[in-house]
Amino acid sequence: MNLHGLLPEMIMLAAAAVILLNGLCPRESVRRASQWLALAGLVAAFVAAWRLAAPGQHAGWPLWPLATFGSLLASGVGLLAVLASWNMPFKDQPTETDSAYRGEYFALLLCSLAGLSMMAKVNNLIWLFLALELVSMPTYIMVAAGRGQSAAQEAGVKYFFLGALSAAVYLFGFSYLYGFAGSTRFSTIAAAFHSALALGHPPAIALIGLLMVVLGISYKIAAVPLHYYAPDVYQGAATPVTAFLAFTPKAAGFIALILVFNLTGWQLSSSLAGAVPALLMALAVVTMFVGNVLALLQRNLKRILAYSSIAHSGYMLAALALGPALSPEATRPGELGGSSINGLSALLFYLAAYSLMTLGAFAVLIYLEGQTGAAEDFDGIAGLAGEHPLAAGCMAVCLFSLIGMPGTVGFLGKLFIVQAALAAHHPVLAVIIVINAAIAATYYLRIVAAMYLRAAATPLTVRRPALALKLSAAVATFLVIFFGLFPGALYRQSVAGGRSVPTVYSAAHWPGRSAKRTAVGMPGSARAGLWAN
Amino acid sequence: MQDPILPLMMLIPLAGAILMFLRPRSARGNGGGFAFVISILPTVLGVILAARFDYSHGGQWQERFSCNWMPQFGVRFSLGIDAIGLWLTLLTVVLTPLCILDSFDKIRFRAPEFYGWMLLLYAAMIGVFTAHNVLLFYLFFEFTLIPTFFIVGIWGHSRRRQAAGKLFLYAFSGSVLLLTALIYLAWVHQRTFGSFSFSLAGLYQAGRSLPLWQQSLVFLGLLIGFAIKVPLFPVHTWMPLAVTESPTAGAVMIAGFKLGAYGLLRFAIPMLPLAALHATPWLAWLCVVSILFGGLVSWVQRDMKQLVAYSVVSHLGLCVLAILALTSSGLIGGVLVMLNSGILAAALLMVLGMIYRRYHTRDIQALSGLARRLPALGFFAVVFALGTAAVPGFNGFISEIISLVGTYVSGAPIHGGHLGPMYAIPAALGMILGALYMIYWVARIIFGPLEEPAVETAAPLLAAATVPPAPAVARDLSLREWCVLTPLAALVFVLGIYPLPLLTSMQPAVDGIRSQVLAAAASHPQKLLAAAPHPGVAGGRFHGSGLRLAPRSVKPKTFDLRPPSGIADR
Repeated sequence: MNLHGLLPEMIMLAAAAVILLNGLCPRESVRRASQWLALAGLVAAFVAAWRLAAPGQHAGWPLWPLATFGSLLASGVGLLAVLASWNMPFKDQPTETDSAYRGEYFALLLCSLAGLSMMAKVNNLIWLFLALELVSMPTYIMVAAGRGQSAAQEAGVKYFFLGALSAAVYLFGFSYLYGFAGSTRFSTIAAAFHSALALGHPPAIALIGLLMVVLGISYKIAAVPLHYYAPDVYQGAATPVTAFLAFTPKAAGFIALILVFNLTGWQLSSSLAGAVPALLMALAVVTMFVGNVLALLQRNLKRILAYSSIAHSGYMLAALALGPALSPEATRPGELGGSSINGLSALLFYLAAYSLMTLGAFAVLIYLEGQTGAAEDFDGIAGLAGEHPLAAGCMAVCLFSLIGMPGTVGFLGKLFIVQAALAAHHPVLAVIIVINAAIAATYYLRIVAAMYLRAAATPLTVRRPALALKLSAAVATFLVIFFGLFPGALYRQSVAGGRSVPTVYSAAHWPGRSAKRTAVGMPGSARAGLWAN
Repeated sequence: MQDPILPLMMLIPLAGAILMFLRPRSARGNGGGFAFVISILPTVLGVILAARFDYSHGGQWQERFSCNWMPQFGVRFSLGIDAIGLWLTLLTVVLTPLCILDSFDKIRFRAPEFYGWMLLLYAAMIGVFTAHNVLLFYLFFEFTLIPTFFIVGIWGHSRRRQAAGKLFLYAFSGSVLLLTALIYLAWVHQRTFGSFSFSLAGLYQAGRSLPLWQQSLVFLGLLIGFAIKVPLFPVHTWMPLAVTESPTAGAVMIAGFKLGAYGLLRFAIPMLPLAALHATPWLAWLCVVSILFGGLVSWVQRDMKQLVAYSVVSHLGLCVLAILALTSSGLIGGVLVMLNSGILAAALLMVLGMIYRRYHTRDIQALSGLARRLPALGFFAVVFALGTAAVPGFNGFISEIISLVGTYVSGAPIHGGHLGPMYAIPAALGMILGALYMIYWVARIIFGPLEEPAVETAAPLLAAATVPPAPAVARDLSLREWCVLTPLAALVFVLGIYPLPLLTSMQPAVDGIRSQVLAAAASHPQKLLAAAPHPGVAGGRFHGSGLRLAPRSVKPKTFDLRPPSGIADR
């Protein structure tokens, strides 16, 4: 890959730099251009990513479709996030200082998206760490800086300290992987895993490293065991930030997990090593149940959506645990039927679907944040359908999509994961997933019921929302329905991304010095062990 | 090949619904007239459909419309009807416009939204009965929940929110398991035949190729989904609540259309014949319990809508029982129960709605002798009550007697079913119960000394804003109400006196299903193992197959293994 492949990230970072400068301008009117600059930067990044996603680009780079999927997701959903946070920062009191960090907010947002965008383009543990932290660092600031309330400060502190802890944990895991393979290069580590697996099972040090990586990154994706922060942080942060948090770190975390597990060649099936995928699946199941059951107990909408995001992480973790392997029946030549969707393709599709529907739901919440506090609980949105039918409609569509009703993209997302689970001979997992979907329907339906079946207790006051905000809710809703009925484009991208992950390791899948050496000197896997140690 | 009638029947209400939702608030009127006109158009198309249908080949899928939708996972937008689908579609296009017409004076707030949801539900119902792709069917089947949820939850009575939530969650929980089972079958299709497909014929093949234990698990998934929707005895509780709390139109849409029974008949049983035959005795007992339980509960109801709702539970038990009997007459009887019970339940619910509109009460104890005040309404009430009580000459009689006969003879050697008098006799008790509670109801409400509740005392009992005020003195049917009830009464008599066209046109369709099921079960390698608890399944055809286990001294029965003629389900 040459620099050309990093064009979307470069555009985003350049735009971030320009916005930072722009935000320092003494003239308010110039500072107000920040959003437009962010928007322009993301549009340009999206176009660049789209061009890079054309077939034949960077054919030699492994996982290129996965990388472009990440870029498209980052810039595409990022566009909606920028639109949704058009009024950021929400001013508790519109002072000069507030509009001073208007620029910073969008610059941070773009930095974070750039991290997500380059996530799948790394080939080294150090770079993986840097990309993950490039995603997270800006969000720490965004959470705390969003508003002056103590809840936001508390959320910021919680998010930062736990985030630092999790970074330490997975970095420690990386160090074990380094100790195991003697290098931070993906190619070397993968080769080491390959030879170790060929001999029996990998040494405990490698497995411990993997476990720590999983545990550390479970923070990014808000999965058990590091999910506790999510409700508090989601509730405390300003709603546009919450919307951003629900999407970006989660997407980054899942792509990182794919990359890390790809190092093992997805061959962890021996007795000891098999514990890792088993653990992943157990985490998935526990995460689903924890998220859904605890969401039942909540009254605050942002907390409900926080727990729902935990639950959705569970579904996606389940898809990850299914891995890239296609069952032999599904890989007949010439067959491009749906069942050739593997766990990772299902994961990527679900990631995009989840991003759209969650962002749509949050956009409506942002829209509703009145001048007197936010519409944060059921009473706050009661009777919404009568007074703001379009907002209620968008919210209802997104919630039905989160439930998984047919005609929405959420339905197809669940369908693919269930399909992948059945095709991978995990019918029990499939049943657990659909049972969770049924549990989840309860609390999503409560929100719909509050909006449609109840009369407004007090008239809802809605501050004059920016057109951009309405646009983001409307576009997200439209895409939820559009991809629910015509999933072709999204399906192609996610299947390409999921299929690009090799099911069986071969050295050629990881470029870099050692891979070249393998390719030239000793092809095939038989002698990989020679240089692995 | 591409017949545009069926998609048009669906698209017209869909477009109408979208227009209703986008209607500016400043627009005059409440949109009811427009919605009615829109809903009549599919009825016109339905008449054309009925005229064009080739009744001599009722078992074939006709009026096909098919185009690629999501080819990546085997979903085609594929519509078609056979005789069963035709009659159920016609029922839909008759009942729904009447519902909308009936709602004119009942829906007083957010009316355009109401008609929008009704039209959306209308489109989804037509989709359910015409879908020829299993996932497409599922999409419509599941989608009906959304409009129903809103109709019950917004325009219902005092416990409407509870009812709406319960309805949605019950049905959704069932149908996600149903979906899992269907995806599994599609994947089996890929494993066995090389392509991932949700086509009806494909899933029939896939399901039939499975060994018994897998069939049983998949059948369980389908069964949970459909049994909740039917509803059968242990999972029926959502339905009386939803029917009672919903506005009349919503109640008709819930109680009038038998999606669950249709799903069992069209999908669950033909796809997994071995498991279905295996489960038949258990299920049949559930049905019998449903019949008797529904009847007994109806008998003691004070709330008239509850009475109708439980009578529907009772009738649906009979419907599923007759389908499980797997005889020609049983299957025809099952479909007839779907049709006739649909008409009668709808008609009774509308009559109750009209009474409620006048007196604001559903309490049997509060009303008496309405024939003196409302002779025309009383006449219709009597007609529909007698129909529900299955009096000869009315349509309820035809369906119940055919179902019972079908169940009774099911165990006979030439039929190959698993049921028999043991099931038919208690089910027949249900008929008696039906007569009891309906006659009791008619005698109490319509005849006897005139007794009307004072309007003032009744008023506080209801959900205040949702119901228009009751008139001081109840007046007999308006012209509009005549227009609603007359077609239903006509149907009650026509189908009661001359049901022959229905019977003959459905014969090939049900024979197709039946012979497919029995043949698939018979040619399955595990047939004898499967048949062990019910040795009757082991037929003469299998002598010397080498697999035969000596059945425990029960006289062998044979299948009627006529070649599946006229089955074109691909």
